[in-house]
Amino acid sequence: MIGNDIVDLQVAQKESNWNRPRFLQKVFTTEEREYIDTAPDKDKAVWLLWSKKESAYKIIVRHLQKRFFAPKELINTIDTTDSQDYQSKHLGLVTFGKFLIHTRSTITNSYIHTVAQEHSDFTNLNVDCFSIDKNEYPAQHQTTHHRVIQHYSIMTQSSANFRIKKSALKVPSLYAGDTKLKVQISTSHHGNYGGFALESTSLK
Amino acid sequence: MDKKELIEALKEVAQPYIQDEEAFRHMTEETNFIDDLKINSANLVDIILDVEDKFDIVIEDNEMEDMLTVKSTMAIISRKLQEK
Repeated sequence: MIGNDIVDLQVAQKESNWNRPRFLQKVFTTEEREYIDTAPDKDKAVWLLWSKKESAYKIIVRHLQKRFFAPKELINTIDTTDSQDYQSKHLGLVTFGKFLIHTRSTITNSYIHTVAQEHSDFTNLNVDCFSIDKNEYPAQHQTTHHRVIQHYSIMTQSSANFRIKKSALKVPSLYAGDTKLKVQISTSHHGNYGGFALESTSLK
Repeated sequence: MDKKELIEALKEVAQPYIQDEEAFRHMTEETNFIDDLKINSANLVDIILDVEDKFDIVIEDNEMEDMLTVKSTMAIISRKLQEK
C-alpha cells in the first residue's frame, strides 16, 4: 500500500494559522510539539510532520477500509539527531497502532511532498511533483489526474484509454478502459502544487 | 438549539474554509466536509477549534474522529451542549 501528501507552503501560510491557540495540541503529540518548538524553521517543521501523518493516513484508510480524523494517533517517530537542515530527501517513520509506515519527504521552499509505504525501499516508487495554475479544486483535480495518466502512459509506452476512478473511500485506482489495473497510485494536491506516487513493482 | 439552528450555526463555521460554493449552498446533514465542500484537512482542525469557541465546548481528541460529516459534528455538539 502507498500514500502521498503535498503541502503548498505559501498557501498553507495564508490559509492555515497553526499559531492559533490549541491548533498544535489538537494535531501533534508532546514529542512532536517539542520538535516543532526547537526547529529553526517552525513553519516547515509543522508541515513536514503534518504531511507525514497525512501520507501515512492514506495507507491506514486502505487497511481499515474506513475514514476518520485522528491526527494525534498517527505518530511521527522523532529522530533527535535530525539536523533539520532539510537539504535532501528526508526519511521518516509514522506509527498508527500496530502499523509502521515509512515516509520519504522532499522539502523545498515552495512545497513539502511526502510519500509513504510499508517498507523502507523506495526504489519501486515513481514519484512526481508539479505546479498547478489555479488554486481551485477542478484545476487541481484535473491536472493531478492528467499528470498520473501521462506518467503511466510514458512508463508503459501505451496509448490505452487510462482513467482514474475513486472508490467510496476516495482511494484512487488506475483503469484502462473499464479494467482496473494492479498498479497502485496515490494522488494529492494543495494550493498550486500537486503530486503523486505510483507503485511500479507489478510492472516488472 | 434545534437542528435547523444548529446546521445554520455550523454553516457559519464552515464558510471561511469551503472550496465548493455550490455544495455549500446545498449543505445538509449528509454533507462531508472534505468530499463535498472540498475543505482541506488542515482546515478541519480550524473547524473543530471554531466549533469549540462558538459553542463554548471542549472536544476531546477521541471525539474528533467522526467529525468528517455535518451529521456527526452536529451529534457531538448536541451531546456536548446537553452535558453542560
